[in-house]
Amino acid sequence: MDRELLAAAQHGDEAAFVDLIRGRSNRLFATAYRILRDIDGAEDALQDALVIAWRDLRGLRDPDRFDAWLTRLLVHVCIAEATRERRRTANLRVLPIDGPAAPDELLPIADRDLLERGFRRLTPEQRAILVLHHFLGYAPSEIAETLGIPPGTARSRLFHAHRAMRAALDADTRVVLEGGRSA
Amino acid sequence: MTHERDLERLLDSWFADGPLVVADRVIDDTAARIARQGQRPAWRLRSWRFSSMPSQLRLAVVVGALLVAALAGGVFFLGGGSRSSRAPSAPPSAAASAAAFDCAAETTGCAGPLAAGSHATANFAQPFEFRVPGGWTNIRDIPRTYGLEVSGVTAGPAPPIQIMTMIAVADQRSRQCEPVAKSGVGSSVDAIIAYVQGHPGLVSSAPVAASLDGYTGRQIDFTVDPTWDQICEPVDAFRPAVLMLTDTGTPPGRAIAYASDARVRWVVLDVNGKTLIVEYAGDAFWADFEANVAPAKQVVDTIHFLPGS
Repeated sequence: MDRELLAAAQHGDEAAFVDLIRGRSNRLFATAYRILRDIDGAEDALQDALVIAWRDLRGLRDPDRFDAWLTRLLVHVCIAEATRERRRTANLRVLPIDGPAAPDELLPIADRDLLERGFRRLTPEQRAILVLHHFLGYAPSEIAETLGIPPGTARSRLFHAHRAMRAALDADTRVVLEGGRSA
Repeated sequence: MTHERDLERLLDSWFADGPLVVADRVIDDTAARIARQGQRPAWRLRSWRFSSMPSQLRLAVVVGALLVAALAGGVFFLGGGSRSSRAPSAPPSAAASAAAFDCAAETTGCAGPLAAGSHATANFAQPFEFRVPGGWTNIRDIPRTYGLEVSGVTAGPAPPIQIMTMIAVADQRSRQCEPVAKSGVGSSVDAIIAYVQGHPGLVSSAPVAASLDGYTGRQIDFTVDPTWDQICEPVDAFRPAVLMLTDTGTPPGRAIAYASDARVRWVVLDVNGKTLIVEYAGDAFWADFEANVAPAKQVVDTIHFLPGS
């Protein structure tokens, strides 16, 4: 069914394309949100990625790669947006947190805030790598395919993303402890 | 909190939390946007040429190509060689089909769909002949570029082939990606390979020795680095792209840039003292790049360069 929709969409059928993306949009939005940590930004990134996908769909030669291609487009849009956002906020000492309003049931609030702050200190690509690995469950080879980098490079960048996250969390923990002692 | 396993578990839990459902209006808005957005022809997706040129320059290029076509038989084009030394032109079947074929990027003079068998370039500055199986189309045949691609959008994965000469490395100065040659960078095989290797916007393979029809050179694969953030609006207004090539014409007319979903192989050759690039423009998400490139490489391997230029 998807192949038929995809073939129709590649020949300019807008309704077929919308049907095709409707079933995928939640997963794509959730991925975008986790990279950008902002609902409005994630919605915009999703829209931009889908419009690009529509525009370039005729160049997709392997229908079996549609989902991987779509994810790749989205991740690159998110990295570009996060890079722009990072520049806009580069001089701010305190970054806003736009996390879900509902109370978190899985993690203590203190841990969640630490994670949020630590994550925002990562480079956009490091954020994307962690989301691909921990949220979408991608292996390094799939991360490599999505980002267009060699598998060895993906493994190395995943390692460095973990290390950067750990360093960011440790730094934040130290600030909290030092602040506590001086108070 | 930050031991490796703890960190992994924390990240798993943290990412599991958060919104999972997109608002319906986002898809509705997307549908409205695509209704205003056309689809690009498949051949335009791999690289961009001409699209940011001033209209008068575009016109000049088109008129120039028309003049070449009209004067077929023994003239020079942009310093190119004598057409009289060229191989026989394409078979009548290809020429007939070309009459209704729109060549890529507002150029003229391409042969269009090619019958299985032997063909030769008509306008390319370094003439050559080659063989194709059925299903290939010549989309561009101008002095600096000869382009082939598998016909049809539903064809199996196979990268378009662009064979380029009159090469100059481009200087990416602005979002408009004007085709301006980068000063201080040569156009020898080694200079171009070194430029690719050292470009901050590219992730490249180690170059390897290559040859074609007895001419030697080097081959290198590359993709756009995910951290590269420069935009080339004629290629893509949203995603980063790397502007790589222009040409030695005055003013230059070629602008070749690669967007972030491209995986490219260049075979850079020295042919009769001139640099020539065979470009396989694939997709970065291809699981088996080599397998997809193989049908295109089979065509390229039949190339026989002819005297001229």
